[in-house]
Amino acid sequence: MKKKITNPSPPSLLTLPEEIIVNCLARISKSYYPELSLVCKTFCSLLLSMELYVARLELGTHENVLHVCLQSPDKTRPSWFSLWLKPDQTLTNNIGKKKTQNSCRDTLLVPLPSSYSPRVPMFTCAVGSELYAISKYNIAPSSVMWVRNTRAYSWRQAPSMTVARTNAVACVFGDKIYVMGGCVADESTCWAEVFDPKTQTWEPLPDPGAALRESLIKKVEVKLGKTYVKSIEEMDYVYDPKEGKWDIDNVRYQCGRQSCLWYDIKHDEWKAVKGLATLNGNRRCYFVEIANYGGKLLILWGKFAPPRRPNKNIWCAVIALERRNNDDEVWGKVEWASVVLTVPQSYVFLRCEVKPV
Amino acid sequence: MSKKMIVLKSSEGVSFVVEEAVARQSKIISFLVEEFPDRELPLTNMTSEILRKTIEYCKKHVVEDDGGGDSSSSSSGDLKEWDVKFVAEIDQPRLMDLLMAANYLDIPSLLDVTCQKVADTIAACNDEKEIRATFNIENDFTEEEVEAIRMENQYPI
Repeated sequence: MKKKITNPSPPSLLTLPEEIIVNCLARISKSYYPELSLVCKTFCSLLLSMELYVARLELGTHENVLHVCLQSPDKTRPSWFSLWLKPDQTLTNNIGKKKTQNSCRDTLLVPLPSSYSPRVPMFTCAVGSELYAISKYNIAPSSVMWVRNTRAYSWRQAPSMTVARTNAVACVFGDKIYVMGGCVADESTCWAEVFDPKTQTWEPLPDPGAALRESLIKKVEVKLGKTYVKSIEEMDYVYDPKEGKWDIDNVRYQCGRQSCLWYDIKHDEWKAVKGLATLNGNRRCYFVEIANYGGKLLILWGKFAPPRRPNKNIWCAVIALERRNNDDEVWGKVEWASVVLTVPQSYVFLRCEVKPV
Repeated sequence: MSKKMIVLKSSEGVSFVVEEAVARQSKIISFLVEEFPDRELPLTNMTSEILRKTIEYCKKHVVEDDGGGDSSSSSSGDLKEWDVKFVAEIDQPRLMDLLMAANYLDIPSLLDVTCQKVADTIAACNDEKEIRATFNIENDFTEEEVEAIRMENQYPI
């Protein structure tokens, strides 16, 4: 027996408590957020809120989003972008299509901050039960490091770094946190420093020399047991030896200008990922980066736009991987590939990462 | 063994006799039952219709303990299917009321399915205008502000 509702206007969603609205918004794919930001001011501010970010983590609805960092020579700070996928679309492989169809504008690198990505994810690393965080994008230099228990969501300040930094690079290695750069180039005593969570103290690292301090740092990573600092001069600076690797499902990948390789542990050799001939042919380019995109291989590369154009295109491809023939072969299937951003040629690719947001 | 019953009273004064185990899925009722045993519990901000719906949900989701170990009245797969049907049949105004009830009575699983339904409805809307119309949200932006957001979102939406 249903009673007819006579009330002409149904209750507004905005009459619900804010935490409930956040709970609802957190369940919607981030791809819709640009559209949602146009609904009303309440939506707009909730989409940018920290509460929403925490709700997505708690509900397990966070998505792996690719973040890309580019440096324009005429800007002091690097620019961050995040990969936005248009909702409800079948994404296509645009390699080999006419230039006008290279980008269907369904997959785009969107500058931060946006309703889609309000903030650059911090560098975070877990040491024991504590999670440490350092801002990767701050306008004013800061020496703050944050810490929280891995099961809680409220941050408190950890012991500060010796020097204030902007856009520093960091990595965790042997349960210690290494932070480098982001300070003035002539900071020779503390250009790089290390934090020991056991003693809760910062110690300076030896001066790497002016050449590295003055160069544009791409990233620091732990690879093959060493901590590498990569500058855009393509020289690797090694700090400390030990074990570590980059992988998808325990397979290590690397990508060069010609081909994409995987490491066959059984036969102790690097082998080409099969099925990517067209992709490899298209990738004569000036940079290439790979990332683990939720168990799939993401390749990002830059390609010059047609001659006499002062721009370059950044391409992105997502590849599903499959082991075949007794695990002796890895086959890749391009799920989609498209131009995701066009930038002036002077832009330098610094780094990219996939982060759950 | 006879099951203990409690009485819940809607805003219209209609009484609902419910098994205590069913009602105890609400953390609030669970608390009230212990504080005020053998008392009728007035739920002054819930209409009979919404209270009936809430009880229907709780009845389906009650985990019966007959002494022979816990046994849910339905398997989890059936229950999910039932939940989908349950929220699909609810129209927009009633969904909001049910969501409020789930929040007020603190029934986490009901809050979960109703929030999910709101989220799915929002995602199914074609544009921001449809979202506003569906959820009775007033557009509080000026033309300039909309333009500014569109500029910021310089990608097709």
